[in-house]
Amino acid sequence: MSALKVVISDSGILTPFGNLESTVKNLLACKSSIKKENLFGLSIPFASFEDPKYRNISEAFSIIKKTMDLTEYNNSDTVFIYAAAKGDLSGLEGYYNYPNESIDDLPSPILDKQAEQVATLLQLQNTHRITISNACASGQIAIETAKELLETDQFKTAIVTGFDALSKFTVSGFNSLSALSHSLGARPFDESRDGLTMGECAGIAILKIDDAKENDIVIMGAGSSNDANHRTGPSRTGDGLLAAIKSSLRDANITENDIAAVKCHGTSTNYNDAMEAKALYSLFQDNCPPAASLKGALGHMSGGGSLVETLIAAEILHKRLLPPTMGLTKCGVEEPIKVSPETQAIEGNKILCLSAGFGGLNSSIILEKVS
Amino acid sequence: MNLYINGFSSITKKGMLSSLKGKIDFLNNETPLTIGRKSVYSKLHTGFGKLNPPDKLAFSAASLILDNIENLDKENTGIVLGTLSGSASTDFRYIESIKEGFPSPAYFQATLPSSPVAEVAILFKLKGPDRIFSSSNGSGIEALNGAIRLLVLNKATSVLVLFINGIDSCDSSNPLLKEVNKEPFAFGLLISTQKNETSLNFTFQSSYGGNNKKVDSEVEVAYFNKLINDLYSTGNFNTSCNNGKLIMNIQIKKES
Repeated sequence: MSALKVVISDSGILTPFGNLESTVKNLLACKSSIKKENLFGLSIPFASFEDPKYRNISEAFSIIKKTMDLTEYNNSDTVFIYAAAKGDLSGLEGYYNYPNESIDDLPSPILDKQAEQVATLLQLQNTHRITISNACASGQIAIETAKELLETDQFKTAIVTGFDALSKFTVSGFNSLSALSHSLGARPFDESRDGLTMGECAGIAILKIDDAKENDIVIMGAGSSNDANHRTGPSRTGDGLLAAIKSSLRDANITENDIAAVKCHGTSTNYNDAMEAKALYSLFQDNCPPAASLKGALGHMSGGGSLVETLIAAEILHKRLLPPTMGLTKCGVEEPIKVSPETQAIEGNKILCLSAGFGGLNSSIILEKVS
Repeated sequence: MNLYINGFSSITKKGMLSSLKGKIDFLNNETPLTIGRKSVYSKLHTGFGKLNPPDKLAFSAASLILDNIENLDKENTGIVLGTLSGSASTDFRYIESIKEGFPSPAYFQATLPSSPVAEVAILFKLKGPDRIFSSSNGSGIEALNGAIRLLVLNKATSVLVLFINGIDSCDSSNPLLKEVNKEPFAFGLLISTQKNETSLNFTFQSSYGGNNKKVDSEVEVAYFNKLINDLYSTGNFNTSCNNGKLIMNIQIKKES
């Protein structure tokens, strides 16, 4: 009997720790990329690329491209999806800072122009191109969209890309909302958490509808929802995120008892972490599996990060080890969710990945390692 | 699965059409961006006048369908947005506030292509799945196809499709927007698995078998214009539109 599923065939990422191998190695070694830096007029903790040139979208994807051969996918059976909250803002900022200079070589602030730029760089001009921007949940929504398109036989392959970089635009914006940690850095779920730390990343995933073989990672389920509550703050009850999780469980045709680990959204803001703990407790009650936020080590990598964190989750499913929630010393949420400052063993083959974004956007993805 | 059109709206420089309120002419030099709250929404909305162009257009198009709506399964109603210029207008205002030395949180929280979805979801309590397709051409067609997908896959019982261009006239000369359609507009369509007494029957065929040429944005806007006008005048529509490889053919029929 055919077991056609949406398989993550290959992936490549760039984070403050570097590529996928280096990122996972550092996460499991309990390292954090967060450090105090003087950037964009603020001297606060950031999680920044080793080389700031990767804030240019072409530089970032050029380095990932070196380890992935995508040319065989440059055809009509492939959909190319670009996911970003704001993407590369260097063109917008360049124009406003230097209005008399030419903008022809600068990345456009229009996201689908950036998508076109990336598709061209990756030599995927003959694919059908879609640009998705669901705020900080963009990457996971792009994966869900790819899954829909593949499972309904619209395409055979989906190349999902994601990018978001630090900029004066976004850093000043989050600062104006008093959302940033100015001293401690991100400490997801910790009782002394005082805001998020901004990060940056790029990522590429090749998803195929295929016979899933042993050890393949498949996108088993996907679901999303809206809190319909507030523009920047999440619902206080966690009901919206819970609805997204239940939608993904229905899509996967499993129950919460099958989940072996949770890759949280865990931004280190007061409200997000409290809300997320409520949602997880509503679902798992006192049987919460090991859970972790990667943002204490990698910062909040925005919409592109929603893709990259999912790709990291796929890799940690192979390793059967959940990274620590860096910055956590004493749990500061009411519900007894199983986050830890140390690595935790994953005793199963399914991981729940959560993302949320401004405007109440919630996304839940379930990955399975085929056994 | 049977699908139905349970509401539609349009806001263009020629005026407004609404399945709820009929034809609404602009008053006193009104434009799509200066319409008054009372023309589109019956309840109080103190922030309406200060909404940024994309949010105002999306909210207005949604209101012309959802104002006082009954029997809508809001827990499972999603929003799929196609946006031509994203949050560009709001981005420019925010970046100006940075240059003035006071980065504005009010502008910043709206500097996302998804911001209009937040406005509509919060005011109308729509808690279903959302998608935001941001593209200077083709996002409306992709949004329509994406909405149908959500319904066919049982992820929602209704989806509000919004296709907007939230661009202000003062931004139209900005060289960063040189390839973007300059006219502000909004189109809305409520597609549902649930029939009511005014429903129009909706059928479609879509495939990704076309050539790779992205639709011209004026062609795409004309398509949506014709769609809403035909629904308003006869309740019937039968036309296809392509975007890149996506070929969509939609048939809408009034039950006799």
